Amino acid sequence: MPVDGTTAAEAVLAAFKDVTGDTAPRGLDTLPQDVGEWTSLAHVRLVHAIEQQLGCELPERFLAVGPSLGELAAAAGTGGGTA
Amino acid sequence: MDHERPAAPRPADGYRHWQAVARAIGTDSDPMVRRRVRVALLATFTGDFLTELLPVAALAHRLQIRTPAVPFGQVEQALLDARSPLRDDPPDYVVLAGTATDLVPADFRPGDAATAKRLSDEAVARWTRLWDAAAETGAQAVQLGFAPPAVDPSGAAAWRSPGSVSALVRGVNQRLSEQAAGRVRFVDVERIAAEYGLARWSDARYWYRLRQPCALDATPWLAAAVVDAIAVDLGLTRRCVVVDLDDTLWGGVVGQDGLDGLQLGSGPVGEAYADFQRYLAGLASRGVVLAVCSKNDPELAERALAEVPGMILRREDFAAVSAGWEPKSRQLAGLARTLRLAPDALVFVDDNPAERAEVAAALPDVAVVDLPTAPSEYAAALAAVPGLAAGTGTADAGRSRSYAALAQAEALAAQHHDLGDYLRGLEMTATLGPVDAAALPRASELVGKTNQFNLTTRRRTQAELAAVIARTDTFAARLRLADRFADHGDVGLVVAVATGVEVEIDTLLLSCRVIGRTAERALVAAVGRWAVARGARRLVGRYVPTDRNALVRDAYLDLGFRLRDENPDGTRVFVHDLANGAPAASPYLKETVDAG
Repeated sequence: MPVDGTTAAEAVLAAFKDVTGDTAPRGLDTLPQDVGEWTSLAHVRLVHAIEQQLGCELPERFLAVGPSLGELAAAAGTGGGTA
Repeated sequence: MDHERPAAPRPADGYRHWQAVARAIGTDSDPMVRRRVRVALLATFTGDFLTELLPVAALAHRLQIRTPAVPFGQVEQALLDARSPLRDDPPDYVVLAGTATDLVPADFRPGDAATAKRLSDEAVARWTRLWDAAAETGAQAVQLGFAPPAVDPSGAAAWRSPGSVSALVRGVNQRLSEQAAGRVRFVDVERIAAEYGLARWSDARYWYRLRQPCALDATPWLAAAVVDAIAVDLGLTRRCVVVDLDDTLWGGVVGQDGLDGLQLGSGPVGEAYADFQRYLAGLASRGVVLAVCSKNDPELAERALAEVPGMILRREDFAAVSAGWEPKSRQLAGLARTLRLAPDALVFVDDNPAERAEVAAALPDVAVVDLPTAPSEYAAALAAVPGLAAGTGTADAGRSRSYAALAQAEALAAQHHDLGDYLRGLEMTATLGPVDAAALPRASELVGKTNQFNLTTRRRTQAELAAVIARTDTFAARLRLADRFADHGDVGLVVAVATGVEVEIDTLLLSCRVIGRTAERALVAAVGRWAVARGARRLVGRYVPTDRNALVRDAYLDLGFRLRDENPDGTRVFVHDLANGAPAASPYLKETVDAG
């Protein structure tokens, strides 16, 4: 189910805090290189948490470390491509 | 650990919850745990997600698991390479795990039955060789079965299509599970995946990107199954299910509705109760002891068990029946005493939430099943109790009869004022036998779970026990006891090690069911005969105190040993001079020998 951008952004930031234990230092602009705990395993947990929270499924390419939180929120906000 | 111990989650709570609990556990040491073990996952896939959840699954068994890191794909290297850190410092358990992808080379074409047969042979050879390598290190192997692919070109006919990957997986699982019996613990992942839902078990995105074969929400189910297998190996299982009667075994209240007015066997509700009884009968057939705890008139409860139309369970399926008007916690404590079981061996099943709450508050070690309101869901709720559905290691249909015989023996004791008369009246036969491959799983179970009559409480995995017994300077014997009421099966074990002119009894234990029957005399006499035959001059016995074995503090004095030493920690060392022969056997036991 597609969700609106605000909901997706809030969910992504909440999922980030849930997984890493910290608030995203640069909000939706936060990138993996900004956060030491953002490992490949933490990234998978983050994607899983976002999918659970928003009831969406992100495309496979988002399972690789790289996108910012904002990019994850944008993908999730459009239903992740496969709602 | 100064914070509250996290509650054990259920697999259905999902990965996020389990991962949060994993973070909460941290690396603190919990003084309440029953056992601490090290478990290494040797997997051909990314094992991090499964590894991090093993300590969480351990909470349900009050077990603490540490997980040494092993890089993924290093299965052979970890076990076969002489320089592997795992060989220097072996864990208690190695969990061997692969995927269906391991079974087929890149050029395999589904439908090629001849090649599939060869691949099956190669897979079985590969993994069983790893079992041997694990045993050489002293670690107990736990083999995970392979999950079938979620999608198969043969579709619904995949299981029956020779040469399909699904059929190959099933065949390998079948062969490995057969060869695992009595050797390694086999986790039936195929069955767990089917229970969970094969289509959801894996997530292709995770496989291709991460080499993670399970969907994250399926991982808690796998972790729980792995730790259940370890708990079974350690003997940390729930052995007795105690059930209420009214609205639990049948619909209705026997005191109000009468024997003929209950719902059982017909109609949607009655069929559900009958199926729940069938589930309980299945547990009993695997060695789980059944008992009744009911607020009812005792005579009416007995009549109901015998006469309610449609009963699947029979009176003789229950080792003990407690019916009366006392609080259920008191009744349960009485049942535990009669059956010589600790409260942590009991599972309590009752439809009444108030009764459940009373028992949970008074007896926190009893597993109280949060029974749903619909009887159609009872079996699933009971199946979700950790350590019960996983199997007891040595399925023993006679065990329930053995527990029932305890109550009969108590009645006999009441008739005799003289202990000797009582013991003679039991007409006991002790059969001594070697601890061979067939007997090893039960011996390992006894080593893992015996608390009260256990002189040294040396816990060993099956592999560790096998290694000790295999030494040429070691004597080991199991004892099977039968009396006029029941054959109790293998209920005693002795292991002794020769050192120069002395033979020291390393392990001497008896199941709670046969304490007070003088069976320990038969075991110690057997060690004595072995020691005399090899020219030893002294037999040494040791008592190492625990919080559960004060009962046997003076056992060696009773056996004719003298106290040689006592340490500040309470350990006592006893000695028996063999100049006049081995210690005497029991006059109350007829001894026979099973050569194995």
